[in-house]
Amino acid sequence: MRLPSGTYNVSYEKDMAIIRTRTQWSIFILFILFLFLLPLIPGIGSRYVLGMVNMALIWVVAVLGLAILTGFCGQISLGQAAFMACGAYTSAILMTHLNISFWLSMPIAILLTALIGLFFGLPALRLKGLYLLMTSLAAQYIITYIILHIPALTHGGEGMKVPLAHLGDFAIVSATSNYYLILINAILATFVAVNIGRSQIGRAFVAIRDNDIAAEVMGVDITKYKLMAFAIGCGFAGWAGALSANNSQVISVEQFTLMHSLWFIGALIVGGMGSVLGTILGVMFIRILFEGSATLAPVMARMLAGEASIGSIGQLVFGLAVILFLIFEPRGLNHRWQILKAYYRLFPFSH
Amino acid sequence: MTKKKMYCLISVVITLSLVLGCISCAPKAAAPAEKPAAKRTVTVTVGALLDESGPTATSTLPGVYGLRDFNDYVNKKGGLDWSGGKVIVQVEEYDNRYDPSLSLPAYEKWAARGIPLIITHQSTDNLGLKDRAARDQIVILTLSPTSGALMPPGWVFATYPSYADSFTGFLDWVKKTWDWKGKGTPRVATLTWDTAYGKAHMCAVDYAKEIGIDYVGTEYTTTLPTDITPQVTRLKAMKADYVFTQAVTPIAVYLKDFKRLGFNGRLVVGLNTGLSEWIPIAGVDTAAGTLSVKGLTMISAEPEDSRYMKKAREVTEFLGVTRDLRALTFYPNGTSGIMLIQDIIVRALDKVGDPDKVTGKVLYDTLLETKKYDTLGATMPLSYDETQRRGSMGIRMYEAQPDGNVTMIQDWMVVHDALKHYPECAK
Amino acid sequence: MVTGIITAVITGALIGCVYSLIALGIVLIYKTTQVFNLAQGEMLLIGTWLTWTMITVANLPFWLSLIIALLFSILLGMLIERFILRPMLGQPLLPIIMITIGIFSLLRGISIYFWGGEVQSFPPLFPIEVITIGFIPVSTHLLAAAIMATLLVIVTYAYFRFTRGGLAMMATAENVMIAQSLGTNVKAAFSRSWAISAMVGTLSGVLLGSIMGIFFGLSDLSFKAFPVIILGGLESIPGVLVAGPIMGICESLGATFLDPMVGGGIGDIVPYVVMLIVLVIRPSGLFGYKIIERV
Repeated sequence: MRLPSGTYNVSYEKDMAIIRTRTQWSIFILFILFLFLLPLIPGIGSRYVLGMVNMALIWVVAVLGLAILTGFCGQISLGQAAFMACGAYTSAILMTHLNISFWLSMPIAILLTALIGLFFGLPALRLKGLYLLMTSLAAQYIITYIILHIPALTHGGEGMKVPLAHLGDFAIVSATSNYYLILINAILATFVAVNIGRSQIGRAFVAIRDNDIAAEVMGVDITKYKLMAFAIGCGFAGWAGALSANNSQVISVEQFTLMHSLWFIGALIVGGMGSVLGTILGVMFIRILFEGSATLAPVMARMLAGEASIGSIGQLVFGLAVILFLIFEPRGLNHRWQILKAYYRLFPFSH
Repeated sequence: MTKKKMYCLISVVITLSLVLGCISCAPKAAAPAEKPAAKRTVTVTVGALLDESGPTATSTLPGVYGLRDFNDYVNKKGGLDWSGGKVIVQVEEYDNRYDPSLSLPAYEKWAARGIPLIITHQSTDNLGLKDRAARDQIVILTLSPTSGALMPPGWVFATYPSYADSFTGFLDWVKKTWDWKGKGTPRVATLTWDTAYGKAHMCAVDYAKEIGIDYVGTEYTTTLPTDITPQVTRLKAMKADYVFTQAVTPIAVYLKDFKRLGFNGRLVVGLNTGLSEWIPIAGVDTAAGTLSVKGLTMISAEPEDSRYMKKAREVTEFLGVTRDLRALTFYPNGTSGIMLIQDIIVRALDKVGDPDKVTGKVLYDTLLETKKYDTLGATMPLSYDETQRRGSMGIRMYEAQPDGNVTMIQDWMVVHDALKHYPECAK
Repeated sequence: MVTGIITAVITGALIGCVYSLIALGIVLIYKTTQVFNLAQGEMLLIGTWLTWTMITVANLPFWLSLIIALLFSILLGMLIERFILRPMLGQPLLPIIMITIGIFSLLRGISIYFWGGEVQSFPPLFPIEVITIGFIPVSTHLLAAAIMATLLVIVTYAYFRFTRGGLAMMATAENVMIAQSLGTNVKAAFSRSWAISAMVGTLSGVLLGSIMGIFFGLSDLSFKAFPVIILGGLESIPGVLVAGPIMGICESLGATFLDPMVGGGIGDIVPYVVMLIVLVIRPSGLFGYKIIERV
């Protein structure tokens, strides 16, 4: 990290710090304050915007898991939405059938999803690339099938009502209270993800991504770390799922389809793989694209006086946006942001 | 960074957030400025959560066309008449691509703006929004009768009976028309999708036994099968006379495989499944004898001189849109929905006198006062009350004829209330 | 019981041939460009819609409509390759998968825009609907699918093995730079592969459309082809013809014997479970190339 002149790292902690100078600390604290005070800002604090922000933050947690699994460790997974479903349904089932409170059922859901992820990660020990992708695709379908076929627990395809989380007597049901719940969890998740990336585990992951045979030769236990990557990645998905269950109050398999897994991967790529900031940017981009196409498509289609065109405009714009993005900026928004920062820092010089 | 730069940055951040806040303040729904004068044109906005480009768009789109056409027709003529002048009903559409997680932000947006009514077309939306709508006091008018949302009676309203009701209605028809003396007990089976929608009628299966009909078995297929030999073989073994289905897209394959394997049972397609579009694909003689249960009139079988068709033609001609009306199976969904909405908005305005006062609660009360509203024959006249959220409890039966046409073989008949009698259905 | 098994096996094999047709298109592209085309279903659909339009709107006879649609689909394949995939040359796997998803979305938007969401039908392709083989009545369309699959596999295999163009395409897949340095026109090879795949897609789509009707849900069938490809081997053309029927038989046997136990719908899952087993035991499938990794 570039430090301002006059700042020296005189200890290991100082050298490793993410937020190093006082300026950076103040910006950081202001930003966190801003996030917590968001609902109070008129206009932005409305149910609509908060609702969108909630969904986006839930996605951030899920895609952070994918960032660890695919971005850091290079294990491609098309099943992230199915693991989210695992987390959501586990949390809901524990709360409904065993009357466990949300604060306990969420961690259990995370652990259980991590275990399921571990199971589906076993093929990763033998497979790479496209083959691993197929395994995760199979996981997506199989998990959905299982959820649909244990109606005693999951109400099958009708969807399941989720009991609300309670803080004492206060039910976390409004957009604002959900916002705070999800925000705290999202901040925690980001903290965990960033630090995993900087730890020995993260380095092992990156080594495996770059060349797993070489990593093994150098002494990295790829079995342990690949399975760990799946466990952590799917654990994050379960986390997001449990939060999503409380937010929507009704869960059904249609919220966790293959298309959702694909959008997660899209958010990861658009943001820039292998970086936490990229994840956040990517999720924001995709959510805005969604909202935009869902709201504008009917309007545009009416204006263009086409009839069958309504549905198509949304899909068209989406596909086009993804294609253009991937062709012109395959390293993602994160890369653009780094370039922007460098430009600001070096201005008026170019290097 | 120097102190000056830091203060600069902080002020930029604060300004930005204020600006953003003001921008989102802007689009707030508001009735146009009030004039204390007598005759004026007001606007009432309702929301519509529709799948316009996702997996079920084929079924939703014709309904959307119906909704738009009948609404544009009225609006282009200046609006509906109420005691204080004219009112224009604006429908704000939102394409949720069948994804409930996209519906939620839209719902929140409309709830924040005070929209009194939302049109939906999806079971997952109905179930997911039912409690919220009751809390926020927003009426939900659904074009897809999900049992769990309609019973126990809440803020979700439909304009035709649920899938379970259609099954009991079909069973009543069998009892009425079957040759008991000559052929013994009729046998009914199911061949459907293994999804909640596909199994929506299964909760009322006990009714068959109650009226003396043999329910012999249930078969499931995948969503888009190319061949269903095993299932048909088993249906043949069951000797089923009628096979009820809730599936929508594999009808041609079902019919073709029935014929191929020499199975004589008649396929009965459910409320939201079309029939005419599958006849050319399956073949006219293969499809002959297929029955269809409908809570809305089947537009492909409407005589040209019926009230409904005349109105539909008048509307489309006036608007200058070309519509192959006879191919748009779900067109009547949209038209009956929007007609009902237009009616209750007018009556609500007459009660409260001001568009701002037309809240969800007012529309709710108005709906409960609605008795025998005429949808031009698209449905049985609609009535609602404290215990009833399905406006019409009537079905019609249609049959595919050997010449390829579909004709009505049973006019409106009231069904046995499945949601009331079978608690399984009302979950 | 025995008749049940035989019927299940034969009908399953025929269903599998339909999957083989779709799988063939994907394998063809993969064989040349190492790109797994998730948009094959949509390309298939557009070709089918074009055929339908020629028949109903332009009132052309079936064979002529089909030829025009094939020409259009060649153009479509080449356009996609040139403008969307060429810039992505050399990118890692995930962005390429993502871009094929983007193409899927784009093509779906286009197909709904021009042809709407309603179901349409072809005029009947064959005079007789059903042919009875032994004691099993078999649908002519499925039989036609089986015959077409076999023919196309033979033709494409011969093309790849015995013609210069085909060999050039295989060389490109092996190593683009070496192939180029030896004089192969790599760009033309890529274009050709997408063009041929689009043609195969249109042919399979037309057959599917006559079985089930033409509507935009048809493209979802392409996901059923993935297990077939894995079982057969990603680069193997004959593998497609072997794996398709096997998968179809598994699905059919599953529906015959497991459905009553599980309550139905297991046909959707059986191919994926089989695929999972294949991936764990022998990822390269029956006939695929084993990849030897070197550090």
